[in-house]
Amino acid sequence: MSPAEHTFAACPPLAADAPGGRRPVARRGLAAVSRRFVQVWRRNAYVFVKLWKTNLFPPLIEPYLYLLALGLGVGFYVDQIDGVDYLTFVAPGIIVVTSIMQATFECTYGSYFRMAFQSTFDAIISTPVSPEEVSLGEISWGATRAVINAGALMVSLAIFGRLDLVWAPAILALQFLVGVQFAALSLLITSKVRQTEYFNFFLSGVIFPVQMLTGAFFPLSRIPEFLQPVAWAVPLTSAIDLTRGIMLDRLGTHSLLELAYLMVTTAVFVELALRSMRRRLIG
Amino acid sequence: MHADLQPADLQPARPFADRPAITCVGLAKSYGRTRALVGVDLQVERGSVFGFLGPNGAGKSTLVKILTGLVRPSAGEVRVAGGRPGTRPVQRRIGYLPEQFRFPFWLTGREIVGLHTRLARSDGDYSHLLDLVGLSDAADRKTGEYSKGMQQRLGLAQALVGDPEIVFLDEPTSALDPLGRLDVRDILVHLRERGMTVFLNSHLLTEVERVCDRLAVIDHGAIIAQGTTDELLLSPGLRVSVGDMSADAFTRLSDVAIRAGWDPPSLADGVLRVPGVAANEVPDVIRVLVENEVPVFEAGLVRQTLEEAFVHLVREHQHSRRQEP
Repeated sequence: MSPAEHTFAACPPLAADAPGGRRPVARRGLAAVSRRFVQVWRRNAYVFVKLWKTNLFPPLIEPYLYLLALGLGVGFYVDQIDGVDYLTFVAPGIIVVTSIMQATFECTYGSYFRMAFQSTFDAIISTPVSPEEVSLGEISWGATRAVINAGALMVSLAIFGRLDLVWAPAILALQFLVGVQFAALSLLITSKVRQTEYFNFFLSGVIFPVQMLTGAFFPLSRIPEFLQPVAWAVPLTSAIDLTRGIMLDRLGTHSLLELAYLMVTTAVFVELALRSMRRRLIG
Repeated sequence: MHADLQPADLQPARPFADRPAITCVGLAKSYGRTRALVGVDLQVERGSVFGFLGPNGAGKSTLVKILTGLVRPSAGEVRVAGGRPGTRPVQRRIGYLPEQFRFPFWLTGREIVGLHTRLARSDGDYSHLLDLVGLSDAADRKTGEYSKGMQQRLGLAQALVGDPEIVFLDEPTSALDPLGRLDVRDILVHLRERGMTVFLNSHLLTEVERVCDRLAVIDHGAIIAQGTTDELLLSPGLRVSVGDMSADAFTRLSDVAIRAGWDPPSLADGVLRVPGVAANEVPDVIRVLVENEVPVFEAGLVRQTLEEAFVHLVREHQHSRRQEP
């Protein structure tokens, strides 16, 4: 029998999905998200808890080294910055840097591994969970990792008398927001890369430089004047200034503007990440 | 083990509208200038096991991903379980075993199925699926201790979470030993008995031949054949064990084959194959061989294997593509 004889000859015509032959308009981005994203978050949380020692403690080593090297080492040679000792000044910066690094690693290497090597996302999307819900689940989990590690660091700072735990809820809420922003930015990058080596460009070209530019380790007044508008355009600067404002009781009306800027830019990054991940996951 | 399970152990299948499980009309997919699928027409009946075959890069995975809502077609129409793939009503009705997957090695098989059950927002306890795939004894072991075959079975259990009406299996037996393949084959038959439609993408032609009701062959993005296994196998053909055969004798036999309407003969390792020969035409072939002083040791009609049919179909299609301007 020839191939032509095997070929399916008469598929029935298909009816349109909706009356009048018009296809329903599909929702995209945040508009396509339901509470199902929580199930993706729960899945990641369950996997994290099963290996909590491995997942929690190694990422804390780096910020503690920062605290020791900068706060106690460099701080020994620095008298005061902005009216406080160097450890008090740099602690908010290290908290925020810890948050963004956790969110970034979770939604770059972590998400890419789940997407490309484990086929976890394919298996999830073949259930009623949408690509947008998978992405928001990943972002919210990345932000949660930021809060977990920032919280662990804050406990140590409180023990050393550098943090009044009364402010902890506000600081942690802020870390969640900045965690969402960097998790979304990282997932946006993840949606574009074809192999993990490309993350080096993102980490070395974006994540590490912005830490130097945004007042984490020294006052913004120390960077060249022409770079200062650029520094304030980076939302991380607002996040660090807000965290420092809470910890040093220096919040003002400008803080509301910073918070609004942080929230708006976060929403933009989340929307972009969700749309880009849909394109990546539904080729 | 699955042999001990009764159909009642699984939830009863919920029939969707009285339509085929899968229908594709003129389905096409392009990635830039690369055409992965070209005008695919396909229909899979409900409650059947459908085999999908093709060489590497032929478009198999692209079609499976379109059917599971993971890839958007560039053109054409597709319906799965009566709806458009990727929509929630359809995603509720399908299960999918990806070709390449890994599980977090520190989770147990029971935890993996439990997590997927929550993602699918299914009600009820689906740990009995571990029994179905023969992993009940290993359900509480970490998947890092699982063999490849056990992981593949766990993937199959995961695909069956949510009691799907159609399940897409991408190479479900590729990492299994012969006994494991036999188990999976039994599971597929069991699923068919309870009315589930199985779309099986596999390179293991023997498995496909034994378990599938219908199958399709794809090459360069086009369906080049589809039908029942019997329809696809060329038969009967003649297989003759011969001694030395001169080129002159082979040419004369080829001439006879052309006049008689048989397919061209082939000779390899002392075995002469003449496809398309009917039982009453066997003496004609033997006569040609004897007249040309070719020693004949054994002769018999053989049914073509699916592997032979597959190779024949794909080579014929590729040959015809090369002939095109």
